[in-house]
Amino acid sequence: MDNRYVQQFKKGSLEMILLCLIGRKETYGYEMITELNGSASVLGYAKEGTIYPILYRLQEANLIQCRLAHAAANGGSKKYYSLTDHGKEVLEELIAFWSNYENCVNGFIDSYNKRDGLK
Amino acid sequence: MKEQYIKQVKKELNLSGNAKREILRDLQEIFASALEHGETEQQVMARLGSPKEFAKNAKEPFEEIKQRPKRGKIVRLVCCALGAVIFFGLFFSARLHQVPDNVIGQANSMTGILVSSPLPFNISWFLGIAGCVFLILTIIFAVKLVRR
Repeated sequence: MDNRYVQQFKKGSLEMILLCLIGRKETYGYEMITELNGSASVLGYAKEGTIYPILYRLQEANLIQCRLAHAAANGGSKKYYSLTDHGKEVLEELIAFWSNYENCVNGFIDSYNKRDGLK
Repeated sequence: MKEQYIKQVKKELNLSGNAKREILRDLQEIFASALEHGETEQQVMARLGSPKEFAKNAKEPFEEIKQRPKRGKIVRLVCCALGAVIFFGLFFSARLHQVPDNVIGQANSMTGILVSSPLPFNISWFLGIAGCVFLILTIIFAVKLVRR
């Protein structure tokens, strides 16, 4: 079940999922990817090639910010992401919208499931 | 292997210096973090896809950013150029059609009536100054747009 409708759902929700991950605690790219692949298998396999463009867009929209920290273990630097104040507000709005949205969609699904009773 | 991959991505990134540096730095971190967690370079490259594909996805957000303000800047430039043309046009027509000083009406000869204004200067110069301001702004905006 990996058709384009499912792709659309995933595409739309990944931004919000990343905002949730970043909002919970400061995190970096690889950590987000392991987390997504560990606990969100329904979303499919998360790749850097998908995640980073979204992070660039969120950063440009001033929803997230990042700081570079020296990382001894990998011999370079790691970029730690956190939510901006604006990002926190937007995430709250998105979460509120999501629950309305969920109720609305579930309403249609319920009415579909009860269609035989309507006859 | 990794260096080769990064080099090829770099070649595909036709972006401004800052955006390019950011993507390449992130790519270094992608490799470093994955290797730190026991993955091989081959595994990472298989996941990232071809350098061309990775570069295409990574640069898309930056291209969107670049295009958005550009449209506004072109509008600003055109407005200033239009302002310069209008004000200079008004200024020159005001100067050309001006009756000589101390003259009133379309008389064939000089009259003795003195034409004066409460202002110590000719108002038409304001049009010229406004035209100059718009011209200077047009030049500044044009230079900025080309330099981007």
